[in-house]
Amino acid sequence: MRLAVDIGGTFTDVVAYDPRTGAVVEGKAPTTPEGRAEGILQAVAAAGVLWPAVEFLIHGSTVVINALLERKGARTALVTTEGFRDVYEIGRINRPQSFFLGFRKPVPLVPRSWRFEVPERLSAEGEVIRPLDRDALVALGQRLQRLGVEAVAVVFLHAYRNPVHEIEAKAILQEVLPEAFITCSHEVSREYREYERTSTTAANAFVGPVVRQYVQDLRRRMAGAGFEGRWAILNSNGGLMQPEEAESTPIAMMESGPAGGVTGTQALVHQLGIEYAIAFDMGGTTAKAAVIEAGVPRLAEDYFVGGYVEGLPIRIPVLDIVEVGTGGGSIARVAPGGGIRVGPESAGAQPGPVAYGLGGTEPTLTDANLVLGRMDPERFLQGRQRLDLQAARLALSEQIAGRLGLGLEEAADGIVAIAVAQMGHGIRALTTARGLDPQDFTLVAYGGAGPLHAALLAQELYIPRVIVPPRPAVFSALGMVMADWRVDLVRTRIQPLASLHGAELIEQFALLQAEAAEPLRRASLAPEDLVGSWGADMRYVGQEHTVTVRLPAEVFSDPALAIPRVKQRFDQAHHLRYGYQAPEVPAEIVNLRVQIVGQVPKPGFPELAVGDQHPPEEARLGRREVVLPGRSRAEAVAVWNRAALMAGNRIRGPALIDEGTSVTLLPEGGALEVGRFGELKMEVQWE
Amino acid sequence: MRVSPDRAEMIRQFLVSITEEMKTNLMRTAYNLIITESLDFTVGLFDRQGNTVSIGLGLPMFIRGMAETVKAQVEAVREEGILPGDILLTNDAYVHGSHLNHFVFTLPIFWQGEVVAYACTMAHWQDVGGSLRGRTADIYSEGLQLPTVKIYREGRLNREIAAIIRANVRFPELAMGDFRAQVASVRTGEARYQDLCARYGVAAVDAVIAAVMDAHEAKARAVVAAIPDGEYWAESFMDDDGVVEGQRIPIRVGVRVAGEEMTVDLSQVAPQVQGYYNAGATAGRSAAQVAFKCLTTPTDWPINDGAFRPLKVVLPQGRVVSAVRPAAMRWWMTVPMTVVDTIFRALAPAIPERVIAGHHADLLSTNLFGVDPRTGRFFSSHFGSSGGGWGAKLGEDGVSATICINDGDTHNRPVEMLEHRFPVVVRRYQLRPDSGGAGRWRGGLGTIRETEVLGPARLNTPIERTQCAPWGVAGGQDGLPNRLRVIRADGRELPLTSGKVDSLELEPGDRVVVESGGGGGWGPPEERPLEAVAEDLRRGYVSPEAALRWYGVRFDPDRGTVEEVEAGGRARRGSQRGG
Repeated sequence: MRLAVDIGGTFTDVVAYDPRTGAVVEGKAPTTPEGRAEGILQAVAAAGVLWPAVEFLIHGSTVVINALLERKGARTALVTTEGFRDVYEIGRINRPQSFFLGFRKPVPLVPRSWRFEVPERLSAEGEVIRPLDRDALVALGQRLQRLGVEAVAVVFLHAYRNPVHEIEAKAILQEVLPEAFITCSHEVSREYREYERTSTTAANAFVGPVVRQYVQDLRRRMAGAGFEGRWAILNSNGGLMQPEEAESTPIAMMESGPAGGVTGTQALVHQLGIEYAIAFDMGGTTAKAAVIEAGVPRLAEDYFVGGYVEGLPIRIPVLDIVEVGTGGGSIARVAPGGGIRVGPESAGAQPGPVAYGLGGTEPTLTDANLVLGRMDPERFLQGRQRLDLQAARLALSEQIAGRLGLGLEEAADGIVAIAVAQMGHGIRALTTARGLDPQDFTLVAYGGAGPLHAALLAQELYIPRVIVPPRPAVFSALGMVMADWRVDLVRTRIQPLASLHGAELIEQFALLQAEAAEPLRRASLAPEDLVGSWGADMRYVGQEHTVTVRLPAEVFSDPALAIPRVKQRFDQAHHLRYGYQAPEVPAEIVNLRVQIVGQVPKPGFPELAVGDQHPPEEARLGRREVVLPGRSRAEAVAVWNRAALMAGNRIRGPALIDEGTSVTLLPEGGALEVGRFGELKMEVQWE
Repeated sequence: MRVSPDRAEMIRQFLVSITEEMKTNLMRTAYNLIITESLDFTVGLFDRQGNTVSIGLGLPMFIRGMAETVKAQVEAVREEGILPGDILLTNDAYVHGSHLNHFVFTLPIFWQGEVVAYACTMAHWQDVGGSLRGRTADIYSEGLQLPTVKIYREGRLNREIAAIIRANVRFPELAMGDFRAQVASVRTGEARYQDLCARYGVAAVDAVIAAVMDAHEAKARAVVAAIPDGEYWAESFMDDDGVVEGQRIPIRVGVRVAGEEMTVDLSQVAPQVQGYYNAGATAGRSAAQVAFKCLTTPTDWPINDGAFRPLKVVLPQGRVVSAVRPAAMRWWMTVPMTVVDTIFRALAPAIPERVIAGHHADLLSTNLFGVDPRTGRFFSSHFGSSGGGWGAKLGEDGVSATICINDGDTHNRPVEMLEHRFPVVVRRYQLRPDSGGAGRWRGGLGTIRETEVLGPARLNTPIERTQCAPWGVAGGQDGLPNRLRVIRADGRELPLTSGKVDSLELEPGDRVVVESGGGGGWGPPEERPLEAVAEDLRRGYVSPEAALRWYGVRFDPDRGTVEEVEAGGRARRGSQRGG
């Protein structure tokens, strides 16, 4: 039995899969903030899974991102090169809200009084120009001990190029502070740009003791419950890592939860033979999207915990998952001047939409959908939570429709349309800004609210194909079951291509690959199961921004031709991204990238029983009064029970496919077919 | 035409997303650091008359530059006419109001055979020819001047003009890289605007643009109406014009508020100067608009001309912010920043709760050039801003180490990148203690960046505001002003009288120290809570000596606590002051 556990803000989701029988079960329990292990045990019990039957457990968690957002971490000190302890506070000096006099900067996790300097210095080429002052470091260690620090981040300039001083400093400090969690910048990031590396390292130290305790607690509680199998944690890069790695590089767990959905999308589209997809995840509080190109999700170029404006940058290999809007809890308001605004304020899950009856007073996107009849108040969350339709109608009519002189349905439909348009802009920014066209993608929609908005979003973006995967409400957990082991290494090594020999470059990659393979070797993966791939971030000499270029094995088949081939690949990648190339202009490598995937036998998506074109009668839930997009009056629309559908069934729009935890809207003119794995394949049209 | 509120909101968002997409495309494809790292550009959409519909920043101070340029460009080709596929280009300093480095590309967007809007980008090119020395005294020494030309005619590049550009700049590959990026950006704007028209119809789009402008106007009027009517004046000054050394340039600014309208009077700002600190009238108006936007609709999008209808600007020709040919303009951006700050200063007595105290108001640029001993090749490096202190406000300390108001989402250059690219070692980059003005709310701290050169090089610095300190408001004290220091390898410090040096020879081991100013404080220092002073001391934002002098407290570094020198003395001084 493979078991995935996804701890979210509100719920802990469990999905168990038995590869022998193909049976999938799921369970849900409220997340327990203090003793998180408790929520896991409850969710597993809810799924009816017995711990001794679990052979392999995969875990994703928001523990790291929450600790950072709530700033509940260890007492952390920062040690830097003399003259640079303020780099962390100075940051990048930018003011994204250009006209707002009340702007604020990102606030460092470590205040100035806890940031210390030691004499040492390397050059940009990594040569020692001032030796490390060991005595000063010993004295500093003693001072940190007196201050009672629990974690230390060590960041020296140019350590990405040569970590010699950081290694030495860590050894000295660890001796004086045997209990402290000590982390160096080169251990978490080997990329240049000192502020981003400092911020990443400080964050790693800040959450280090928290995560160490979390992992140990989990290990103990699960063993106590009878778990004897192996376990792994989902890394932000979408692959698995050993729990021990999470203990030393906890920051890698940052996007551990959302990465599950992207990994699931990748596995699903792979099984379906689709190469270009947009993974769209819409829940109660956020809507997120990630792009899968040629079967592979991208890694993010920048990542900020807490957003761009005031957030701290984290430089780790993290899937490029971008927030494209808020979720079902987005609040609708009348803007000054008479327009409707949806979000960015959100009622989230607490107090949630007005219809939840938990104290929410402002109408949300979910309330609008309910008023439109697109959600069934009786079937919501399989009847576990009743929705108050009347309260939703009242809030919408008083706060929006009445004030704008609109009909109630008209206002509700407008709110949904605005939310969809907004998410469309977010997704377009992801694709067209990279020289890609959304029309070439399949939209894969999940999360509780994803299936309801998927077809509308596709129309907005002129995307003809939409897929709603099986179990969309717990798809992130399901995706974790499909994850491979994976290590990504990025190393800044700025070198003009012209100065390089093919053999030299191959050697640099081979060394990096050996280093990347190390954790997988420790996870007992056999060398033959490891698949490495190489790439480089490159630019024309004189440019600042880089393009990531994939460099498949054939590029290096003949070392004598390797360099011109790399250049050619770069020119092509540049052309794809920017619409032009300059073959006559010299190029340089900025970062080397190696990725190793450790493939282990893992289940595919289980197949559904095959039926014919016509859905079985028992799948019919009758008709419901629904206001369809662009209409102002309700009409009777067919509703289907997803659980009773069979592979090969076809449905014509308009229709709703209800599965209790989620509803799929198939608009008029759209057609739907149930796929082999139970996925709903929709084709949508637009004027 | 009436557009439903939901459609109106979708069209509004679409307009914002078009300029965002133009901006992303420009940033990702531009060649030079000044565009990609400093965001020294702006993109925008303009209506048929050249009024601003939406701007994607870029630099806040470019708020007027494109609109005025679009109008001038369209006027310049009026006789010849304009066709689909045409792209207009100019870098006329007296039109966009700034220096020749700014190249402005404008593309008419056609829909169903008619021009319905213009897409425009204005971006800073690293080099446009001209003197390598920092000091210039007329526009002709500052580089290539290109009046409005059709750089593309019906989609075809005008090769002769492209060749002229290539021949007149020092780094033609860089320049043409930026050229292509700007063309790609206006074409993105064209394609997306046409998509917008196709989805909603041009009449609905026009109606929403008009409605958005009206809504922003109404909001701005309501804010101005809440400011007490009256006439408010304030004065500050610049160090000098870089040529006539030591001769201060007075910046006297008036604000008249009458009902829902505000007039910014710049007629008493100093006349245009001999040196290179002049700006054109477009930049003078930009300064007034930036201040107005900050006070009225700071977070409303899209940025459009409706928001500025309640603002009048009095600006006769020939002032330092309305200079005429052949005034030197190379460092155009400095004086308008101080104009913005001085407008806030003028309004401080009227709306102390809304304004901000003075900030460091300079880019703190250093330009090193010479031959890189590592490669034997010529290099010219703009180090970019190191960030300085911002003024305090009612309820909040000033922000430290942040870019000045001319710029917005502009980043500093990482030390690890600078040392890789240029033959330098940065010795320290840190906050500047005691630079923030004392007050109930303290001004933000400036920074210190000390850079050692590894080979012989020359230095240009146009650093201003080394005399006129960022002022405090409502009883708050001034912050420290900007300061430049040059220390020879043997430890001897050069006696400098200002922040400006021109082509100063440096030898290996010489160090350039740029100290940026702190922000002014807000409110009397004696009203600052003891715990806030103690935290400033623990963090080293304020030294024990300064704490004693400004706040009347003594610091115990071991316990991290403070005590008043004279019990109750702070409160007593406060009440005396109040009486």
